[in-house]
Amino acid sequence: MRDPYEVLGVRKGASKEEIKKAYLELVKKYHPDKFKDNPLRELAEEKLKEINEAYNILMNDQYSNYEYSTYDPTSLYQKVRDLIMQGNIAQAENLLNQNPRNDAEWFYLMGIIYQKRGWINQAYRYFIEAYNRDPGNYEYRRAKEQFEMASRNYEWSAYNRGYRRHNDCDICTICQIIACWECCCDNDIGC
Amino acid sequence: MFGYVVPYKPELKVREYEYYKAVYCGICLQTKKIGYLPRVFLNYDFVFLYLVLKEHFKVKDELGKTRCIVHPIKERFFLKPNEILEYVSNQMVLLSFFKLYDNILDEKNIFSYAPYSILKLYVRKITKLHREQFEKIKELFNKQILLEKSGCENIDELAHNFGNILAEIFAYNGEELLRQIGYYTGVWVYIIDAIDDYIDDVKKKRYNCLKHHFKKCRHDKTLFEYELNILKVSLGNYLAILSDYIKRYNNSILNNIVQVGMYSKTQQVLEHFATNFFKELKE
Repeated sequence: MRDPYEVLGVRKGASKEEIKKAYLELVKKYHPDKFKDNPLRELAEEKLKEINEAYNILMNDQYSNYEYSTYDPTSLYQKVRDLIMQGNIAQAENLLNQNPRNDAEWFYLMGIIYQKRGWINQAYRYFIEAYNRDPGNYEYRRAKEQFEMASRNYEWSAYNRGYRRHNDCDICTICQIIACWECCCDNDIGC
Repeated sequence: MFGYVVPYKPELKVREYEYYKAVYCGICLQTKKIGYLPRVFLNYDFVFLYLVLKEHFKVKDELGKTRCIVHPIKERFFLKPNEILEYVSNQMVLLSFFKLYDNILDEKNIFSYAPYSILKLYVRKITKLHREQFEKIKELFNKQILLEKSGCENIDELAHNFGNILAEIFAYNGEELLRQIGYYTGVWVYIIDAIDDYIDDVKKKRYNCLKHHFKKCRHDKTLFEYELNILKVSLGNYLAILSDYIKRYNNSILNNIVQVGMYSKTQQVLEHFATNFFKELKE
């Protein structure tokens, strides 16, 4: 199951009042009555089920107290790393989500999980966060720089194949605009 | 798809350009066999799909010459029909159907309702061939609409879902490589489209998945630069992966599209976004 806090769209450790408010709003949004005779009905019902489950877990005090105290950070992170090594991404994410500790390592591991999934935008954000929290760490810096490198390499290969930008040359800019304009509204190409 | 996947024309050779146009005409003429209406939705992205599939299955295609309604005077090259071309044109009809379907659920727009009901008839014909695929795409589409309706703020989640739709379309026979190419094309297209539409969407108070990240940047230039850089890097990464896949085919038009066409499109959209963001969204 996904992190209940995420399902309800509240921050970790939100108060009961906040959780209740968010829950009621979501229920309104996905209420089956709203989707009458609509093909989205089934999906909405599924979503509602998830929301109810998340709400029950969060209102049931034990969740936060229990999960927060069972692991000390080092063993938790080791466990997550092991899970990632085994390729068990879903469970690793689950474990991390249940134990939000806002330190660099947490963000780094989350980044790896997203990277494995191919969600690069999210992953890059997490790596930046990890790096910002602990700029001295080689691992975090490398993870962040890998993305920047890949992007730069691609740009270089594109650049070398002929597409050049001349920001400081007026005539060239005009030519470029004409070329782009031609590209977009070429009438003689369409069938 | 939205017409972002195009070659960079100044870098094309004349014969490549002629061939590219011929494929476009080929798809158009093939679609005519299904019906006249879907030809309205023709766009260049499907030429990309054809080129990928053609290279993948090593199809030898032939060109012919003909006149058509749009070009009655001068004869033009067109691609003679083959199995792949038929598949591509079917997919085009399918996708335009879903686009209208999306519009109808979204806006209850009468103008899309009429073509929708006509397309429905064509689609019934096509789906006999690709039943399973159709169901899968439909499910993904519904999920996409639901995500957008619920105001999802996670760009990756939305782009991932859209990528899966294109993966389904590209995977002619469930081949993993084709699936990957489709996926990364879709992710890129979704994000670039969201950036391109952002200013318009904010003005008209429509949903846009980037709102969550850029809402805060209205008055903060450094934060804006920071967010823009994240987008730049992630788009660069998607394209890098895609160009790795495409390089295997060693086809110069495909290389042009991915390495120069999509690159210059990215630059163009980002630049336009950056210059207009503070100008247009003042209040």
